[in-house]
Amino acid sequence: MTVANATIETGTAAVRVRGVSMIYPGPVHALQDVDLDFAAGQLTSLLGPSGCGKTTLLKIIAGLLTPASGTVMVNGKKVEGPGPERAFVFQDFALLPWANVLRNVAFGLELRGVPTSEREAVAEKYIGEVGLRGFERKYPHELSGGMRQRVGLARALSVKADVLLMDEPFSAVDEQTRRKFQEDLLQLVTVEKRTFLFVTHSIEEAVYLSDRIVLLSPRPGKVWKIIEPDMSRELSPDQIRREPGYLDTVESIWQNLKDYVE
Amino acid sequence: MARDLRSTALTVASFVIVLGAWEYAGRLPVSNAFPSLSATAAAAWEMTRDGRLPQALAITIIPMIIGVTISALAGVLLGLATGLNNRVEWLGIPLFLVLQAAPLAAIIPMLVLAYGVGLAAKVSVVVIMAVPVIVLNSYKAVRHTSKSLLEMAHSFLGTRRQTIFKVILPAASPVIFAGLRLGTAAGFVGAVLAELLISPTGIGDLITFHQSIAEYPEMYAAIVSVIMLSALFLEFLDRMELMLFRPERRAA
Repeated sequence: MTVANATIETGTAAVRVRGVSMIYPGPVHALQDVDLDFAAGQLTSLLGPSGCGKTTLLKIIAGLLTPASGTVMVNGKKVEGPGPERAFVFQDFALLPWANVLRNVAFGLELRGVPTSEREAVAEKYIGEVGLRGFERKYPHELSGGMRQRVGLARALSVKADVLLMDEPFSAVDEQTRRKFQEDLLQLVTVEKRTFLFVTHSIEEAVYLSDRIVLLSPRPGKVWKIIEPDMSRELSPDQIRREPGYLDTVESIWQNLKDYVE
Repeated sequence: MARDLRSTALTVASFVIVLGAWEYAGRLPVSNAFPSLSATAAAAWEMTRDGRLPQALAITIIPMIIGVTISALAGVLLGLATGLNNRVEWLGIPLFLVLQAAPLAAIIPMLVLAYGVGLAAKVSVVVIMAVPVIVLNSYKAVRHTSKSLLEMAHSFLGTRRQTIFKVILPAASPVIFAGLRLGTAAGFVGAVLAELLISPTGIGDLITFHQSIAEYPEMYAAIVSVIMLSALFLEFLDRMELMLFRPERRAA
């Protein structure tokens, strides 16, 4: 579990997806023959219109769904269920309403049997990192949507997983909060040096955040194009949004996706 | 704070209206068998002073407490079992659905045949009245645990046991407690029903006796005392739930 960040070489594949297909009763071919590598230490987005199987793929990598065929390897080990090297951030936050922020953030560690004082110390650290210091004793219903998702993110960070799987984490958050959250997430990605897999249906969000964008096409869900935004990460958050590279990438993805939007 | 004050005011107002209407109707009078609030209160005071009312309550409360305790324990356990395990669900749920729909007063003669006219028969009436709703509520509560919370527990490597105790039970507790409240109320009805239909003891005895000699204020005093007992007990259940399972509501 503490095989942590130092051993990750940026660029090598942390997650390998080979020949993954998924069929839901119907039958609906949610995914067909997906081959993908996710580079360690990078943020990769899965982007596509609804019905392209991006969340399905993320949940297969998480071990929450079993694919009809194909395999997923994380750090060289075959995925056969959830594991300690992966942590999930849920679209609807999935916080315990009866637990305060501190307990919610520490909950992953609580399930692993880490003693109270130890897990709370870890939780405190990440509560600070996601910008929620001072809210430790608040309950989810006392927080805004954006703050709740920060709790979800802190919980995922606390278990020291190498791979963070984020399922449309900002879709239930209002636009202003989302922008601020995106900027903070970029900051976190540089600080934490972990592998982030990020599902989104927002082109701007994908381009803004990602080192690499995997475009999926719908019915059946297939890898269709892989794009690496051509822009400098040295810029300030505000500069990025005005950068020609950013704007061009957004535009070209939109031109590509247009055909799939009815 | 202002909201607290307003809700208290509304509660008080609702009591004043109902009790006022009672007093008014009693004074009209609507019927000779319908005493006013003040006459009932006077009778209740008299019966409390000479000890008849407390004694009767002490007798009635025995099958209530035994029956409700058995029902709560067995009902919640059965409800959890049916909620957590499909085979137990298939086995148990149809039975409780039928029991819940059955007019239970009709079963009482059968219970007398089996258990006689003593405490056992009365406890069994309480249990039969209370258990189905407790089981069905607990079962539904477990089945309706948020899917994403279950997925969360799974993805963070929670064991089945941890998932049950740290996620499913706390998530289900509001609906389980709602079932306990309904079950307790039904159980109290059962206890009084048993005293009226099986053998007159306690409050049931007071009600039948005073009715037979047309002492209506005394009869109503007995009825009201049992209603108050039940209401107090339900309030106690509410507090217990808040204390045990709902820290977020205590904080707010």
